Parts: sequence; structure tokens; C-alpha cells
Amino acid sequence: MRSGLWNIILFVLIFILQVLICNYVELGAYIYICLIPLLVINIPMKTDIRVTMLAGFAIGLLLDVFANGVLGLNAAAATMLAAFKGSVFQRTVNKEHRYNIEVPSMRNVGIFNYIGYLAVCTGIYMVTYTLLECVSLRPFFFILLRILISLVINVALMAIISNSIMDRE
Amino acid sequence: MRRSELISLISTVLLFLALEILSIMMASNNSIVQRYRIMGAIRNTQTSMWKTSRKVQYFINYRVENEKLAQENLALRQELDLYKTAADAVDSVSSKAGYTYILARVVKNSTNKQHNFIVLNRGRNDGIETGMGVITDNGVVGVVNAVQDDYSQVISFLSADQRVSAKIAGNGTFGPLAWKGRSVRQARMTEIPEHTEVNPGDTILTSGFSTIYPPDIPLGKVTKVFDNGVSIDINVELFQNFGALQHVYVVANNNAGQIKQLEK
Repeated sequence: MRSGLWNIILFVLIFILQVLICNYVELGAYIYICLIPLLVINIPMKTDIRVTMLAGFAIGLLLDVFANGVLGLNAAAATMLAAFKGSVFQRTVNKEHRYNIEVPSMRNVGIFNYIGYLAVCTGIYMVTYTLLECVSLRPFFFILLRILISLVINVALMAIISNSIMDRE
Repeated sequence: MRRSELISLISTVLLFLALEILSIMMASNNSIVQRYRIMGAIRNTQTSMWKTSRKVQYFINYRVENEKLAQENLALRQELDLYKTAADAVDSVSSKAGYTYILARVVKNSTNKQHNFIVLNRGRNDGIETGMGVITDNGVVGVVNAVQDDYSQVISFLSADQRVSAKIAGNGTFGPLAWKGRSVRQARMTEIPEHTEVNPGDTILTSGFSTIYPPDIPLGKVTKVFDNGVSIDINVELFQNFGALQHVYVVANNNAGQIKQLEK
């Protein structure tokens, strides 16, 4: 079991990495690298949903402040993810894991379940963020392509980070 | 669901909504693009809500407004008639005001028989008499054939034996107009002299050659012209939709007595 301090350090590191990516990495209009969903889905499942939403909101808002973006976009997306991550977890993992896992990982729910869970959660985050950023569905194919490309890259990145750093004993 | 669970659910939903609204407000206040688009979306929603509420309001007030409009129409019609009489007096011989109109509401109406009848909510107490014409702004409706104290019965124009003296708007050629007996919007004008120039689209009006209906009430438009070798027959599409009759005017010809006296 990881210690609380290790968790906090990991959270801070990922957050700093996210801020650096937002401020200094320019990958074009179709890619938005976003690691914040990883922080939100790592909030333990047994945490009260209201606390989870408040934590998600705070994480998103902090990123908005430090990333020099539009205040509120990441906050709204992270709150949305925090509100629905429990339901997504219930629907994407096997029955045996539903009630005894605190923080899902590749090791405890299996690689496919975890990737599925990560993909749906990141999808919720990306859709909310992109729709709020564009405030419309036009241009539709640009938005769709942006969500899909960012989703694939972010899920891959988060799976790597989760498996190599966060999932370690 | 237990009470504590319900309270928990409501507080969760409220917190979620509060956080989302707060985020959207922040986004709106911190970016011109977001502000412009979010406010645009809000205005669009407001506009469509206003439109819907106006429609509901209109539907609720529809009957009252209709009544008011019918009253206004009546006043205008009577005023117009006074001016017409005054103009006639200047032109030639003086006469008293030609027609008096009584506003009435249709209580019962039939359109699917060969002899159709209409019941009005005005009767003897309101000055209605048998033989009076009944019109609307879209044409003639029929003739009063029975009167009670508060109600009267009208033989509808949609009856096999009803005739209206009509004329063609452009040249004034007149002839009888009668319902064709099938569609409620189709009538036929007959006995038009062969040399008369008449074309589809021409308007048909009342001729005023009877004591029942005032002249120049639009009745319908010509849809087809037939030459039967002796005279011309015309198919007329009526302006009046008999299926949607609500308010009508009962017409009293103030000079009817004198005209009938002369006809004897």
C-alpha cells in the first residue's frame, strides 16, 4: 500500500507536469495533452461523492489558474468527471472488483478493464472540456477529431504513467 | 428510498450543479469568446422560451381577442356603411343608412349535409328577424329562417336551394351563385352572358341586387370557366371557410320595407 505522502508527491508531480505541458508544449490544434483525469480517478472510490466533486473542482481550477487558460474550463470538466467516475467504474469493471477496490489500477482490475475505465473517464473529461472551450458543435469534424486524437494519446500516456509510477508498491 | 438517501442525492445534485454553473460563469467572465457564445446560447434559450410563452398566452387569450376583434370589425363595418350612405347622398338622391349589423356567435354549424343549418346566439330580443342575411368578412353565410327570443337559425349558403346574386369584380356582370353540393369551398356562378370576359383568378362579389346582402362583399375567386354554348358557367372557390365559422354579422337592410313595397 502506498503511503499518503507518496500519493501527495505523485499528485503534485503530475500536476506540475500538466502545468508545464499546458504552458510550454505546443502540439497543434488537434492535440490537448491532459493528465488531470488521472488525478481525479485516483481519488479513492470510498470517498464521498461530494468531497470527490469538490476535490475535482479544486484540481481543475488550480490547473486553470496555473496554466493561463480560460478560468473554469478544466474545473467544469474535472467536476463532471468526479461526479460520474463512480458510475463509470461500476459499469466497466467486473462484479468481483466493484466493491473491494479503492483505487483502480491495471494490477487490481486487469488491463482491459482499466483501459476501458480510463478511456470512458478521459472521454467524459475531453468532451466536457472541448464543448465548453468551443461552446458549440461547429466545426463538428474538427471537434470530433480533436476529441478522438486527444483521447487516444491521453489514455496511452495515462496508462503508461499509471502502470510505471502510480501503481508501484 | 429513505429520507436520508433522498437528502444525500439532492445535496449531491445541487452541489454538482453549483460547481458546474460556477465553472461556466468563470469561463464566461474570463474569455470574450466564451462570454459571447454562452450569452448567445442563453439569449437563444430565452428567446425560444419567450416565444413559447407568447404562444401559450396567445392561445389562452385567443377567444377574448377574437371577440374583441369581431366587435371592432362590427364598429368599422357600421362606420363604413355610414360613409357609403353619405357618399350616395352627395352623388344623387338622399337615403337613410343602408344596413345595420348585429354581431353574433355561431353556436351550432353543420357542413356535411345537402341542407345545412347554423344556430346563432342572437334572437328576437337582439333585433333579429327572419329573412335577414348573415355574412362575414369573407363572404355570405346564409339567411335567417327561424327566430327565438335568444337564438336564431340560419339556412346555410351550403344548401342545395340557396342562391346569392353575385357579380364579377372587373366588369360587374352578374348572375346567381350557388353551392355545388360537394366541397364546402366550391360554388358555381351561372347564367353569365357568353361575350363576358372572365378569367381564372377574377374576384366574385355580392351584387347588392337583393334586399338580403349588401353589395361588394367578396365571395370567392374564379377557378374555371365553362362555355355551355348559351352562357358561361364559372367555378368559384369560396373565401369563406364554413368549417371555421365563429363570429358572423346579421345584416338588417333598413330600406328593405320600401324596396319590397315597390316590388309588389
